[in-house]
Amino acid sequence: MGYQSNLKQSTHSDNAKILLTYVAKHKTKFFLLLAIILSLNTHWMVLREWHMPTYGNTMIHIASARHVVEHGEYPLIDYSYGGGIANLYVPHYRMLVATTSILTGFSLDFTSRMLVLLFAILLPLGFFLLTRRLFDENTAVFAALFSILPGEMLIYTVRPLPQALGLILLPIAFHAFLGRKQFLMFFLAFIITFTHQEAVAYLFGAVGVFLAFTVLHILWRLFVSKQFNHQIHSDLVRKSLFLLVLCISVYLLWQFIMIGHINVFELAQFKNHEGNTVSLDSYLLKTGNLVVSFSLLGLLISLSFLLRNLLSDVNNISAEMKGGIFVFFTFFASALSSFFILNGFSLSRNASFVSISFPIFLGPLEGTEIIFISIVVALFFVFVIKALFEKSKSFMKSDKIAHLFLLALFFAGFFAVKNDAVGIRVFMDRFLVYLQQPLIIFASLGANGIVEFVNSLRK
Amino acid sequence: MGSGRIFISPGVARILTFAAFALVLLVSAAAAYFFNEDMNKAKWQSDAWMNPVITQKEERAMQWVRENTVEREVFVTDIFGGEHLMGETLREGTEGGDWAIVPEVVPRMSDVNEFFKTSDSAKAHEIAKKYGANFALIPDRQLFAGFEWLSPDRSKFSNSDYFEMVYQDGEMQIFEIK
Repeated sequence: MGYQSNLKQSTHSDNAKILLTYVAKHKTKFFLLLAIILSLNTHWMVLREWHMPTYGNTMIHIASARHVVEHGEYPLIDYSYGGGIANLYVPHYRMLVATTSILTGFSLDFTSRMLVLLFAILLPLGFFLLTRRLFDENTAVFAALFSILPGEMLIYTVRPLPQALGLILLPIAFHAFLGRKQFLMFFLAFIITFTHQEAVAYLFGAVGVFLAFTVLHILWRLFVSKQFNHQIHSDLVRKSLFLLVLCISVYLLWQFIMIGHINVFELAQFKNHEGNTVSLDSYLLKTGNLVVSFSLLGLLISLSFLLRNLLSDVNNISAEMKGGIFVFFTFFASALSSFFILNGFSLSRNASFVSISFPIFLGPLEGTEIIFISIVVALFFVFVIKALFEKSKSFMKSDKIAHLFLLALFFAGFFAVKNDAVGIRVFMDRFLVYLQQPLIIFASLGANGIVEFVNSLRK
Repeated sequence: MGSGRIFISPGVARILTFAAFALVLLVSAAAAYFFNEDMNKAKWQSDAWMNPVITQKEERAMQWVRENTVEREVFVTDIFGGEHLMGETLREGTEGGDWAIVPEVVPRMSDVNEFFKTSDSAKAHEIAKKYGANFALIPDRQLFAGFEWLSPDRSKFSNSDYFEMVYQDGEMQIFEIK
């Protein structure tokens, strides 16, 4: 009996080992599948009502698609506001709905809802691809999972809208931009330009900011570090310029053909300043606590990475001084971030009293307590960052270009959301969902930073 | 000791392993809790956008529209009614759609809003004709013409000098504008 019991125990233990080995070996696929299932779960509500959602002018796209289905041509005259005006809205999404309906025989309503479910599958995959290109597979898995969380992302991808297609295509286009498949990049940029105006505006802005960063990087390399790599930098500048010219010229050509001028500021959305300002409360609500908190951590990791690289390029400062500057900056930035979160996402002291009730009860916190906790958190963060740099084999070894590109996406999104600050005042709230793209990747960088830190301790 | 390693007895190692395992479980549970909470919040926020607004009676009326009017016929509609009408039948509403290059679009919204609110038949008739509408689509729901949600004043349609009811399904009505 004793022998048999030992044998059974050993078999169970072997099976458990095999299972664990199998899960560990296929963990990326497992988590990707989980992300897709969760994304489908959140988008499933599009099938709930007797009619597809109509909020967000969804039916105007159905009108153009129906015209294609019934007449075999794209309508150049719009059906909007009594008709008689040019159909300025870019046509790709509408053509996609029409051709899918023709090919499948499904109604336009059902086709639109099925496309939403397809977008739900592609959403985590796009973030996975882009983040894997930027960093590594583990960070990419987090990005796939986090892409499901922001409320605004769901609001814009669960309705049958061109925005949804644009949001799905953008990470894939950025992935192509950073890779070697230039034809795919230009093709996707062309598709996005004809899919949605805001999506192409964000693509244009992000690549524009990245071009500016690249030029600054080149100047730094030329005059400070003296390590200019002609091939990498000229390739980035060339790609960025081509992409900018392609997006702007294709869209303006379309607008000129349709309405005879290229002045976008003449459009009603600009003249009437359509859109609302984004308050901190709406940003937090529509982005979600997890993405907001982890993205702040990811942003700090990214900035620390760039600072460390910049400092390593400078020759006339001692190693001790470099270490001091690095620690000071990291400590200060993380203390400020911690204070910002604990102080009810505000920098003005005692703006609100945060009560932490899970997993331990702390609070309501007062100003001095928040400062004390922030100092402890910042010290811990400095320890984490130093451990990541010194002990993690892969995490902090990513390319500087990846961090610069992610920061470019962030600044383009941030500027678009706060365009009211420079007097443009159009679609600030509509651009929040584009800002959430880099925030999701920053959040995944932050979350994987924690995992890597735990791993480095274990080692 | 010479190698600089710390000796841990098997008992302590077991306790440490158990503690590490418990910590991983706790952190995973907390992460899952917050993940689920954020996901549910996202679903809750999106839920409000799933309402189709238009009614099933409105949908049924589209059959009559297709059979009795020509393509691009103009109807007085609110935003949701106009967009539904164009999507289902390729007819046009006085409101609804992309307003990017619509001339005088804000006064148009103001006029159509007034069309629904007023009890004055002549005034409503004048507004409808100003925008080339030969029909008015009055659904069995509240309307939104750009400024406010409102219940249309139906009394104006009783004046047969200006309006004639050509379709009715309960409160879903279509009037021809003379």
